[in-house]
Amino acid sequence: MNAFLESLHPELREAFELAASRVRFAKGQAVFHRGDPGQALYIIEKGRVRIHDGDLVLNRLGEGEVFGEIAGLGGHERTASVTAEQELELLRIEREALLGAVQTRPEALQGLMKMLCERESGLADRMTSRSWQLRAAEQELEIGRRIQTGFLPDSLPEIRGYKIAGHFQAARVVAGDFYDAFHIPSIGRVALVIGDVCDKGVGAALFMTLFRSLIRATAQSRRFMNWAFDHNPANTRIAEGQDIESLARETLTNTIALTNNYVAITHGKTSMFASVFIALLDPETGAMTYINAGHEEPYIVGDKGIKTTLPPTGPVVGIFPGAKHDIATGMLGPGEILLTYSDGVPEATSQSGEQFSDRRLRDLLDDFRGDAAELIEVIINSIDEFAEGAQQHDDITLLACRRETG
Amino acid sequence: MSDNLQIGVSREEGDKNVSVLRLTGSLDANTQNQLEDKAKETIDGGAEYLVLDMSGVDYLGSAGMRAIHAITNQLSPEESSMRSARLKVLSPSPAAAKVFKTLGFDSFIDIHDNLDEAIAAL
Repeated sequence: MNAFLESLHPELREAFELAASRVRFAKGQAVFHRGDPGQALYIIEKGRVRIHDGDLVLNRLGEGEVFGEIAGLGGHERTASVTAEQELELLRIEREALLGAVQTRPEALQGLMKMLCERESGLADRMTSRSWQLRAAEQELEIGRRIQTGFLPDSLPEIRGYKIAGHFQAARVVAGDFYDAFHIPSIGRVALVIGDVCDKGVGAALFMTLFRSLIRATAQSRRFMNWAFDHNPANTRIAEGQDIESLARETLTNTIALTNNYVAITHGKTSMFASVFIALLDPETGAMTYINAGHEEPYIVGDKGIKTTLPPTGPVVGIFPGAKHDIATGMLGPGEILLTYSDGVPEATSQSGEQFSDRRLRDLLDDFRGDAAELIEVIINSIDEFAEGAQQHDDITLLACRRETG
Repeated sequence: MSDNLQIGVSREEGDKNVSVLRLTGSLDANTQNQLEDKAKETIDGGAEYLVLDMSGVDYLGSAGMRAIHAITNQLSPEESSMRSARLKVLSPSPAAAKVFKTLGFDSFIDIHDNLDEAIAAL
C-alpha cells in the first residue's frame, strides 16, 4: 500500500479503495489536459509526472503523491495539464464513486475534509514562497531595466542649427534596441546611431549594452584616450592639411569593423547580432557619411514628404567575421529630417494582428511638417491609435535629427 | 500573420545525407527554439546537410534569423567562413526574402528556387 493511503483514516482508505481503478500511461502520454472536465483524482503508484501549462512546468510529482484533486473533487475544468515523465502506474479515484462511498462512512467524510484542508494549506505555502521568488526576480529585472536605461544617452547633443529627438519603448522590461547621438570633437562630426539586437528580453539587453559600448568607445576613441583635451566638446583637434572627410570615413569603418569582429570572434557561438545604422553628420554642411549594417532604411523627409532612403550598405554586425561594409553619403538640407527607426515601428500590431506597415509610416511621413520631436510624437501617437492597446511584440525605437531652415 | 510554426522534415534520397525542413507560419522570437530543436534532432539523427524550405514562412523576425545562424554553426562547428556550406535556403516567401536581403544574410546563405539545385549546391 502506498504511503498516502496508509496516512488516511481507515474508513476513508476503504472509500478510496472502493472508488479506485488502476490505470497505466506510457512515457510522454498525457494523463489529462488543462481545460478537460475533472472527474477523478490520482495517486501515483509508480513513476513520475510533470504538472504543466504548455512549456511552463509547475511541479513534478513521484510515488505516493496525489494530483488532480482540485478539479477532480470539485467537478470543474482541469487548471493544468499532467504528463507522464516515465512509465506510469496510477490509482484513479472516481469522484462519483468516492462521494458515494463516503456518504455511508461519517469518519471518511471527516477524513476527506481534513485531507483537503491539509493539502490546501500546503498549496498556499507553496504559492506564497513562489510569489516571493517571483517578486525577487521582478526586482532583479527592474534593476536591470534601470541600468540599461543608463546605456541610452542622458541628453542629446545640442548642435547649433539642428534639433535631435529620440524615443525608446521596450516590449518587455528590458530591450535589445538602442539609439545614441554624440559629438566626435576630434573630427568635428556628430554621430547618430540606432541599433536593434536580434531577439528580445534579457539576452538581447545584455548584447545591447555590449554593442552600444563598443560603438561609442571606438567612434570616440580619440576622446577617451585623450580625455584632458577632448572632454570639452567645444575643442577640436584637426591638424592643418588633414582631410577631415577621410578621417570621418576611417572612424566609421573602424567603428563597425571593430564592433563586428569583436562580437563575432568573442561571442560568435551565441549567434547574436545587431542591425546598426551610424551616420557622421557634418553640422557645417549637412553632409552625412554613413554605414547601414542591415538596418531598416532611414528616411530623409523634406517639405514635400519623403525625399530619399538610406539603404543597407552591408550585413548585420556581430556574426560574420571580416564582413565588409561600404560607406555611403547623404545630405540633410535645410528643413529636412533624418528619421531612423527600429522594425518595431512598421511591425507594431493592432488588436486584430495587422501590422502598422511601411506603407502607413511612409504615408505619415509624406504628410508631415514639423520638427524632430513632433515627428516622433506623431509616429508614436499614430502607432498607439492603430494598436488600440494591443501588447507590442517588439521594442519601438526612433531617432530623428532635423536641420533648421536658415 | 500566424502565431505558430509548423515544421515538416523529410530525408532526401541521394549520396549526401540531406534533410529538408519545410517551415510554415511565423519564424520569430516565439518559435525560434522550435526550429533550433527540430534542426538539432535532425542533425543528431545523422543529417549532415539541411535545406530550409521557407516558401510557407509568412513572417521572419531577426530572432528567427539568429536561429538559422545558430543552425549553420551547429552543422559546421569548426568553420567560421563567410558562407554557409551545409545549409541552403529554398524559395523564401517575399516577406522572408526581404528580411534576408535587409539583414545581409543573402551574402552568407545561398538561396535557391528549386530543390535539386539547392541539393546540388551542397
